[in-house]
Formats: sequence, C-alpha cells, structure tokens
Amino acid sequence: MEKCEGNSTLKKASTNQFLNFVRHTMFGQRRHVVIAAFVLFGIAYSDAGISVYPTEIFVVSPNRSAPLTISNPTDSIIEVWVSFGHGYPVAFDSGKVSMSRSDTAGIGDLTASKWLRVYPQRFTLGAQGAQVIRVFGTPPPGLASGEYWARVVVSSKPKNARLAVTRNNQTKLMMELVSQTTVPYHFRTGVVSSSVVVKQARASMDDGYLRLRVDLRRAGNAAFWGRINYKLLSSSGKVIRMKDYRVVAYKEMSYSVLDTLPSVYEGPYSVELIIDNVHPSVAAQYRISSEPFRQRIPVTVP
Amino acid sequence: MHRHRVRYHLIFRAMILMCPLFSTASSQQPVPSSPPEELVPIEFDLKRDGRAEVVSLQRENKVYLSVRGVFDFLRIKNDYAPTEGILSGFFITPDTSYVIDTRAMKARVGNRSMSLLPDDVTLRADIVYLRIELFDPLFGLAIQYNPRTLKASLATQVALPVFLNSKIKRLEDELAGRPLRLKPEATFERTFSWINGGQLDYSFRQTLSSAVIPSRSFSTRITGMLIGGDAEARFIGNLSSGVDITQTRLHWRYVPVKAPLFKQYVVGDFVTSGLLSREIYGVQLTNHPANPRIFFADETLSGQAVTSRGVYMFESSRLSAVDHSASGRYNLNSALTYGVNYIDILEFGDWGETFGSTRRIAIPASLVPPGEIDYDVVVGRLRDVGDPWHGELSSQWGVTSRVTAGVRMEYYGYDNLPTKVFPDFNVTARLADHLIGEALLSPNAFLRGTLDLTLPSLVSAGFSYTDYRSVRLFNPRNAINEITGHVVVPFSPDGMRFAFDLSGTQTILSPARERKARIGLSAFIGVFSPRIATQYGWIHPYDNLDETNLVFHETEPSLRVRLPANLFVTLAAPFNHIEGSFRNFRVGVLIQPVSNLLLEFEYDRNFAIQSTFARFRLQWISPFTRVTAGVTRGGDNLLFDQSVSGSVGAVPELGEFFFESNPSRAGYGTMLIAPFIDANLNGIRDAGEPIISSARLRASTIGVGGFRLTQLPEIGWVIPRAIPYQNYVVELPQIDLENPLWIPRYRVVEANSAPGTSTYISIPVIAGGSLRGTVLHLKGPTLQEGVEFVKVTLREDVSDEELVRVGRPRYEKKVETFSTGDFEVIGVPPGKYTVSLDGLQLASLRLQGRQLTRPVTIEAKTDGDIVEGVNFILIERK
Repeated sequence: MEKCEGNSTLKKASTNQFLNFVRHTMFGQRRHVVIAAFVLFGIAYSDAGISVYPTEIFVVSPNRSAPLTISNPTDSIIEVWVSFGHGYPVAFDSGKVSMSRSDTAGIGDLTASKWLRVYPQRFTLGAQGAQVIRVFGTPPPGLASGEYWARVVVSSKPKNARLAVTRNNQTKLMMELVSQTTVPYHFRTGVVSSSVVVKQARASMDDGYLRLRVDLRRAGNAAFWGRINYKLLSSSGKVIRMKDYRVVAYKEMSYSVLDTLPSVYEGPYSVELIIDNVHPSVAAQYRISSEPFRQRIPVTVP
Repeated sequence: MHRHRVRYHLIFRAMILMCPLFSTASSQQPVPSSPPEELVPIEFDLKRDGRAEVVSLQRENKVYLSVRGVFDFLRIKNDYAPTEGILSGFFITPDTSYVIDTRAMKARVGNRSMSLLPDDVTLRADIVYLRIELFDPLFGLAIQYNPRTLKASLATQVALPVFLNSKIKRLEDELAGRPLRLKPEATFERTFSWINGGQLDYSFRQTLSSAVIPSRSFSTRITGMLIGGDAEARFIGNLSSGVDITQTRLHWRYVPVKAPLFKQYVVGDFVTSGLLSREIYGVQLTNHPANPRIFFADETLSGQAVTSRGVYMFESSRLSAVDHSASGRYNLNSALTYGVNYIDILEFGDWGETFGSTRRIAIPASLVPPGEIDYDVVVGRLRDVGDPWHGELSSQWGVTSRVTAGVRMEYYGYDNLPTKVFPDFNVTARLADHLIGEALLSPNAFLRGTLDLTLPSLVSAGFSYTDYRSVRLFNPRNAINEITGHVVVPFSPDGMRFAFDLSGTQTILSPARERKARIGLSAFIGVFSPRIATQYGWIHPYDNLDETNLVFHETEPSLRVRLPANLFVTLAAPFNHIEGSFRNFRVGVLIQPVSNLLLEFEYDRNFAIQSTFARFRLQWISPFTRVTAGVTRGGDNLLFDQSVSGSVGAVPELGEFFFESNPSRAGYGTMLIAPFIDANLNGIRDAGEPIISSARLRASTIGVGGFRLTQLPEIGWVIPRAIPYQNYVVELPQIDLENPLWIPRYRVVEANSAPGTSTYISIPVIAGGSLRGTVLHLKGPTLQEGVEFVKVTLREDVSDEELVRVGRPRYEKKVETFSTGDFEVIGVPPGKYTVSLDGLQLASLRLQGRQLTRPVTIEAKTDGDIVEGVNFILIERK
C-alpha cells in the first residue's frame, strides 16, 4: 500500500491517533506510552541530526556495492539503523512534490530492495562521529536490463535520551524521537537509457514574478537526473535572467518555478528552456547520455 | 534543545493558526491601525554545518531576521551602537567592513553601498532586523525561508568563518585520530636471489644526412637483481661498429637487510662525491642508506601566541600540530624533511580573522640527521687520462640539527700534481630558517665559503667566495680568488607576476681581473611571458690598470606566448651592443594537439655568419614507446633523424612484461600488490582464485603519505616507480572492499622495494560472514521486548589442545545489544563459533534464560555467509 509522506502524513495521522494518544496518556492503564513521532522522510539531512553522504547512490553492474557515510553532527549519542524501501518523488497537479513510498514496488517498477543488504545494519554513533556503511547488492542471476530502484532508509534516534514525564504517579509519558532519512539507490545493469518528454511547458510574467511550469515524463528504462536551465530573453535576444534547477524524474513530474524578476518593461519576451542530463550531484560517470530538450516560450509583460 | 523548542513553537503556532478556524465565521474583528508583527524563533539551518535558533520578526508577509542572531551563528563580527543606530563590523576579513545605518537607511559592505527602504530594516530592543531577502544582495547570503516549517536555510559557497571553525575542529579531530604511522600486520623483507627481474631503458637513433655519414646509434641501461644485490649496465654504441667499450659502465651494489657497519657495498663504476665529481671504477663501502633520505629531524618551533584560541601548525597545508597551552607560549613539533619545508603557524580570531606567519625552512642534502655519522671508503681508478688511482676516506657528523661537520682525506694519483693528498674540513650550518652557510677548507686545493638566503616571499640572495691554490686539478684557469653573488626578487602587482634578477662574478686571474654581470626582468602576464636580460663582461688587465675593457655586452629580449590548443610560441632576438647589431633571431613553435603528439618547429637566423637553421620535429608517445622523427636544414644540408625510446620491465612472478614510453625507469622498483579471494583458505593464490577487482588501496612512505595505487586489471595494484630500497606501507581497508564480508588476511603490509625488479605481494582475502540475532525479554505469553546493553560474546570453538598451544581463541568478539535487543557481528572468518550471553550481567538485570549459549557455523561462501536468527529468550528471574 502506498502512502504519501511529508505534511500529508501528519494530516492522515490526525484525529483518531491524537485522541488515542490523549486517552492513553490521561486515562490509560499502561504506565508507558512510547510514541515514535516526527517521522520525516525524503531529505538527506534530517532533523534528528544525522547527515548522509552521498545523497544518492548509483551502482553499475558488475559492481555490487557502494559506501554510504553517516555522520552525527550533534553532541549526543545516537542509535542508527538502516533498512530498505521503495519510493520515488511524484508531483501532484498543483505542482507540489511529495514522496511516494511503499514497502513493495508498484506495478512495472524494478525494485532492488529485495536483494539489498547493508553492513553494519545497526550501530551507535558517538557525538560528532561518523560511520561508513556498505550497501551490498546480490542481484539474482539473469536480471533484465534496466535500472532497479530502492530507497536506503537511515533511521536514527537519541540513545539513552528518553524524556519521561510523570503524571499523578500513574502514567508515565515517554517520547522517543525517531527520524528517517532516505537515500535513493539505483542499480543499473545491461543497456540503460533515460530522457524526458516534456508534456507541457508554460511561462507567464506578472507582478514582478516569472512563473514557469514544466510537466514532464521520463522516457527510457532509468530515472532521469538532470537540470532545467531557463533564460529570460528580451525581444532583442539579450539574456535578462538565467537560472538552473535540479530535475529528477522517476516517472512523471511537474516543476513549478516562481522567480523574482528584475525591473522589466512591458512588452514581449521569451523564455528559453533547456533540460539536460547534467545534475550537479551526479558524477559524470553516472550520467546517462541524452539529447537536451530545448523550447522557447513567448511571454508578454502586460 | 533548541530544536525541540522550535518544534513546540511550531505546534503552538499551528494551534494559534487553527483558532480562527474554530471561531464563528460571522465574528467581526476590528481592523488594526498598524500591521501586526510577531517575534518568532525559527530554525536557521546552515547546510552541512549545523543549525541554530534565530529570532525572526514577521510582519504581514515580510520576514526579518535578527542580524545579530544570524551573524553570531555565522561568526561574522557585528556591533550595534544604539546612540547612532549603526550596526557595523566586518564581513569575513577585516578589510571588508560593513555598516547598516538604521537612521540614514543606508547600508555599505566593502565598497558597495545600498539605500534601504523603510520596510527593509526594523529596530526592536537594540536588535537590528533585516529583511530576509536583503542578505543576498548585501552579503551574498541567499537565505531561503519556509514559513510552514519555520526554517530558514542557507546553502552557500562563501567562505564564512563558521565554516573555518568547523573545519578547524574537524582537522583537530582528524589529527587526534590520525595514527602516527600505520602499524603493519606483515612485513615482506627482501629475499636473496641470484638473478631476478630486470628493467631496460633503450634509445635507438638513426640519422641520414647529405653531408655526413649515416649513423645508427643506441644507448641502453639495464638494471636488475643479481647475486643478492642490484646491478646496472650501460651500453652505448653504434649498430655498425658495436658497443663502445670505453663508454660501457658496470655497477653492482649489495645492500644488506641488517647492516651493522656498512649499508652499501659498491663495486664497479660510480661517481665520486669528494672535492671533484669524477667517474671512477673501484669499490665503495658506505654506511649512507641506499634509499634517499627524506626525513631529517624533529624540531620544536616556539613563539608567543597572539590569541588564546590555540596555535595551529600546518605543514604542506596539512594540520600537523596544535598547541592550546594557556601560558601563551607555544611549542610545536615539526618533522622536518630534506628540501624546503613550508610551515604555516596560524591563529584564528573570534570572527575568523587569521593571524600568523609562514616559515620556510630549507634542509640541504649536505646536512646529516643530528646524532648520526656518515662515513665511506672509496678506492679505485679514475676514468681519466692514465687511469690514475684515487682514494677517499670521509666522515660527516650531524652535530646538531643546525650543524654538520665533516673531515675528508682524498688521494689523487695524477703525475703532475705538487701534492697528491688533499685533506679538507667542511661545515654546513643552518644559520637561520632562511639562511644556509657552508664552508669548505682544503688547504691544498681551495677554501670556499657560501651563504644562501631564501625568504618565504621567495626573495633570494646568494654569495660565494673561493680562494684558490695553484693546483691545476682544482684551478684550471689559474685564478687567485673568485666572488659571486646573485639576487632574485619576485613581485606580483595586480595579479601579474614579475621577477627581477641580478647576478655578478668577479674572478681575479693572474694577468687580469674579470667581471661579469647580468640583469634580468621576467614576467607572467596572462598568456604572455616576456623576459629581457642584459649581460656584461669586463676585463681589467693588470699591465694597464687604467683600462677597463667592456668585452661583452648583449641584451636578449624574448617572449613566450601560450595560445589555445596547447600552442606555445617563443621569440628571441639577442642584440650585441658592441657590434651594434642583432646576433640572431629565433622562433620556436610547439604544439601538442593531443596528449600523445608533439610537434616542434625551430627557426634560427644568425646574422653574424649569415646562416639559417630550421628544424621540424614530431614526437609520438604511445603507451609503450616514444617515436621521434625530424628534419633539419642547416645551410644547404638536410639531416633526417628518427629515434625510438622507452623502457621494458619484466615481472618473473607473473611472466609479464611492462612497457613504458619514458626511457628513465631503470633503477626504480615496481611494487605489485595482489589481493585475491583465498577460496580454499590456504593463504596461497591457487589457480582459479581471482584477484579482487574492486578495492581502494593506499600506500605511503616516509614523506609521501596516502597516495592511491593504480589498478592493473587481472594483476592487482601497482606502485610503478618505487624508490629503490624504500619501505612502503600499503593499506587495504576492509570497508573499501566491494563485499563487506570479505576479510583481508593483512590490512596493512610493509615491503621494501628493490631496484630494477618487482616486489610482488599477494594478500589473501577470505569471504567471512555476518551474524545477527536478538535478545528478547519474554514478558507474557505474547509480549516480548528487546533488551538493550546485553553483552554478547562470539568466540571461535577450539579444541583444548589448541587452546593450550595458542593460548586463546583466534577469534573473539564482544558486542552489546541495541535498543531493540538486536546484535550484529560482521566480518567473521569461516569456522565454528559459540555465541554466549554474560550470566553475571543477566543476574544483575534480574533476568535468566533457558539457553545462554548457542553454536553457530560460518561457512566459506564466495559472497560470504549470512547467519540470522541467533535469538535468546530471557525471562524474569524468580
């Protein structure tokens, strides 16, 4: 079963769980209620104070393993454990990006989570400490060409740092903060290809803002990692503004850009859009060659 | 704690925001006269470098950040003067001051000024709040604010002082955790071999000319191990006439592994190192090490600290020592190496200011490490007319780290010498960090004193005085004395680099005084490198003291231009002032269109003799050899030449040959490190046991730390030009192996390289296993909970006889359970083991188990064995 994380998780967990929590806390018979709360997902630098490097893993057959460095920049001791899931970012019609995550792969997804292992799987990190772990894959023989995805889920919680609140000698609330950080994992075997098909690209300018919306779909058998470069051009072709945005498309994705503009006069302009495979955090050896997408969109400042 | 506060605040704010939702929609609120504002603590997240709580002021849709809060965290100096309403400080460096004037509504950072609008800055309780968007145009800090998470993020490449702080802390931690020297688990000593390996440098050249007889010459240099030592042979000759015996040089050297008296025994051809460097064939015995000396001595650098935040010493840009002593006086230990040591002694202020100095300490090769005595004995015949006998006894003593003194006695068997014995006394002294003085007093040959000064700014000066005796062997020009001096002053205005040089020599000869001087100025301006130099030569004959003849005066302007596509053009036109004409005009063009192809063209027009010289040359460098072809035209003659050169090395262990295009490999060693999967656990690489293809090996030697090795597919990792007789430490970190369950037999090995041959080191790697289990507390029929901190021991099963023989099990590992009761041991070698819990600890926890030990077996499998479910169930002790 898929679930969407981020703020929507908090919304879903809302009423019933909150009431249950209050019931247990105020009137329950159990002395301890342990709540795993504030579960954040999808960023490589989490609130519980661990950082993970690299922030994405690419393994190309016949290589089978990749190192991952987990650092504890805090001054407290934490316990860290690593598991695997399946997920990728998706975009809603509103342009809001969220993480689609499930324990099992969706239909048509090639998942690596079933045959991944990690060593060590659980460990303790001292204050300011770091640990290199190895994500090791044992892909089954005869694996079809393509890119197999997984998400390396790094969970952490403070060690020996449970907060206890005593209420009327009967109930003790214990709160445990667990954070999760995920790192996308990609295992490539055989022939892989990746590019994007732009379904729709729109641009408008008003109120001192440039609004750009790009709906795209990934083509090929691997996720697309690249960047959107846009240039705002005057009618004479002079570049007024230029910016890069990172793009990751596992399936379908929408990007909305709201950019503050310098003072511009009324009149016709154009936005030149280029989407290529140069993602700043992907090493050159892992870039999948594809033809850059180019489009020029006319815009008018009213 | 502040993170928690931020979260609670988030919840609190969410509740406040929700309140209007529950209020009646029809309620009418009075419209405030001024926009409401709120002070909200938010989280300020500096990407990859921590976070802090910063107070923000939120008004309408605008967000302001406390400049003090942000800058204190980023360690940017900020002072607010309430009477003037001015916030000031400096941004990163003291020469970039900034001012935010809340009354005049102006801001200035360095030379940039900006007018502020009333909405840009707000003052509350003597704290300046700046609109979050203005941190970027003013300071280049693009802060992104997320109102939903109450989080401001800053990802920047600006070298903020906070980065410096964390970098220093990281370096200190690294320094504290850095082992002084990796301790090898195995040492591979050199072994005796009658003949082993071999390296051949070769060069063949053929010339065809319309003016001279065609020639086909060759030059070879062969090195390898022979009768326990290393041998070298050089042959020069012609394909038509064969080897030229007079140019043949043979050399054999024995370097014992344990050397009580002499470290090198040399027989054959070598070069003397006495008053004269001459070729000799004979015998040399010396206790000088066969490998080049790199480390000189430890030296304590002292001084007075400016701050109380510690003094940091960086050697070659690497933190090597820290002194946090409270006395204010620092003492830092530096490991000085031969050559030039650049040592930065730095201190850091509260706001990232850097204080300190660079010390440049030169250690010349003539200094012997303190406390050591070098001595050598040489007997042989010089390769000179009549093959005169030569003998040498010398001793050099490193008196202190600043002074080396030596005595030497030399014998030269030339017939026409007034005396054949030449004693000398020599001293080398480090008079200061930048000043080296040397004195050589040989009463029968010459007396010489030199001073060399080089400052950290690379301004250098040198002075030398020689007083000659009338022995032609050492004084062929029959000079009385000679003074030389030079000065080089580099300077860099506006990013350009210039160097001014001045040198002069005065030689007092018997009939005259000779003076020479040269003044030069060179520059590097972008792609242009111009230089102009003028040389003078005067002769002052003693028979006519009034006459001073300027016999030579020439100015040579030259220009070198670096163009795209690796195209270099050189122009030069020396002008002879005495004759009033240009001597010649030279043009050189060099282009390297691809890395392995070099094209050269030279043109030289000599106006004095009215001749023209032109040459075109092509060089192609393949991975195996270097091929050169050229054509030269001088006058009416054409000359064609072709050459082939390179180097070939043999590795007998592999039956392989290695080729290299650079013909200067002979004399170096080759080290091959081959980690392999030892499938049958016998420690020897058998057929079918593959070399590990994915690993990262690092090597180090004295003075060169932590360099990565080159991988040769199917062979292993190689140090191609290992310094002969040098010890190398090679590290094979288990974490860098592709499979984390692989266990190298040795993680750190040390080996001594031998010249002209290969040192082959095979490291067995076994596939181990991992063990996982859980310690559970059974609290009810269906309720069980993991027990944390339980000690779990994994011990190899050994027979009683073996235990008596070995003393303890070869493998034993103790771990503790995590909060879930899980435990894990990885990298366990194949074998039979027992997993056990500590009964005493369980008793103290008031727990007991039906079974406190469990046998497990780790089997030898290619990808490693995984044993899971080694669980222990505990119950409450009655």
